[in-house]
Amino acid sequence: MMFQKVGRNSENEGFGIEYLDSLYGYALMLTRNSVEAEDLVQETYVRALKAQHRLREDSNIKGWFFTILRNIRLNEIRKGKTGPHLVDVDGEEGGADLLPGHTRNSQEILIGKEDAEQVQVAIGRLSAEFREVILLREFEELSYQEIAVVLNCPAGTVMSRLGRARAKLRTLLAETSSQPLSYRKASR
Amino acid sequence: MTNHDDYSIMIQLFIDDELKGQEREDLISHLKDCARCQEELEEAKSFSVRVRGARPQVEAPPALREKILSHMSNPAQQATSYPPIQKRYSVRPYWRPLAAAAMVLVTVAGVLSISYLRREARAESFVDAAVAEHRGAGDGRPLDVQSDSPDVVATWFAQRVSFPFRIPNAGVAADDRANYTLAGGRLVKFGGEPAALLEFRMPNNRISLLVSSDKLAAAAGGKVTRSAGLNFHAKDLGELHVATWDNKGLTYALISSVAMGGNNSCPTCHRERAAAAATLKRPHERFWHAQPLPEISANQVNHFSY
Repeated sequence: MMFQKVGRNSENEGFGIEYLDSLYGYALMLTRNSVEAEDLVQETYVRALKAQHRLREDSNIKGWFFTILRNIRLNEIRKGKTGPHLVDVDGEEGGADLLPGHTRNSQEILIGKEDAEQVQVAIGRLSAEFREVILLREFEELSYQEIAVVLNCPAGTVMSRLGRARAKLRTLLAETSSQPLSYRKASR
Repeated sequence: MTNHDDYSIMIQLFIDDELKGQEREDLISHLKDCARCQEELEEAKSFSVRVRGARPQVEAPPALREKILSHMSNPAQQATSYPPIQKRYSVRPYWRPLAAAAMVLVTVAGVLSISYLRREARAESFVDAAVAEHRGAGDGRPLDVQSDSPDVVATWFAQRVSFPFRIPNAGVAADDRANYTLAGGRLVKFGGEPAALLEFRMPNNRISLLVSSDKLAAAAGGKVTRSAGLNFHAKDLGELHVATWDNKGLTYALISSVAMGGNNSCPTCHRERAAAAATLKRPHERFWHAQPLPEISANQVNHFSY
């Protein structure tokens, strides 16, 4: 049965609803506009619901949702339906608190937040292509093959693109670290 | 024979759990004896942890979740939401062009009048809300986000409001001519929707800036000054001075007890550039020159857009 792969939430809530936050994050990255992102995610679920009978038993549902979302977005761009790219958003807590470890004092939390913020800023300075592959691998933890399906390219391309994206990210972070804090804030 | 460049690639594949079979065994075996590759592995691992640790905690808006779940429980609903409308004409064919023209004129006039009145009402209620929030903030109400960084505040709000939020001009807070600093912001309600209230501080004053979608708010009335392609509406309400403007789908209301637009009022908030001051003649030009334009959004400051 194909639904065995859907995940535990699907039985109680809805088909693929456990990927909603991830898909919304991806949509925000692609559109940079919260209104467009909401529309994009909604349309993704509408299409997925219609097409779920086409899923194979071994299909990766999460990757499949990401692929649908990206294809809808590409079609919108081709048809010129997209609005201006105005909004960038990030998370409330920066994610640093999710690092494995132990109870940290407020100073450590502050440092962690600042570091997460630095990484987010650096990722934001990557090209869209690099940013996308970093998000899919590091944040969504898709495999190379799953990313290849989403991006519609060979897995080898994913590997090399990811390598270049990480190298660029390292360079940007090194540049940021070498700047005084006041300059970093002013230059954002 | 495998060289260190190959091992570097294999190390990253190993961390990504993409290295299988014999290659994986070879690397594990090599790592036992190679300090350089062990170091590289540790560095790559900590880099990966660092990047993953920066994953923003994005949550889809509850309304979106509800919409999707509702669609799932009743997929046919959407298909039947837009029934075709069949119109019947009761006028004879030769009257139709005249009747249509008359209808268009009446409709346009009606729409314009209603639209004007609605716009005025929206503008008034927006200013009222901004003034109320400004006064409320003066009672010591805490800020939801405290930062002097425009991009931190912009990104905080961008996730919480349903319109494409932008802070007007990073220079508002970061401008080296500004005598005020960005203190942060608070999520407020306007027209039943979340809106952004920014707060700026000066040594003896506060400035509030309410931001909402122009679908709910509007800028109208007061003394109108055109600058940088925008119409600024300025008026006084008691001891407070109000400036409102629309820009790219958003409406802004700036509230302060600092006089705006009057003679010699600019230096209160901005240290002037001598050259700029010399080229601007009228007081309001000097004021608007220092206004928060252009705008800032997180992508313009290259902030991460997840």
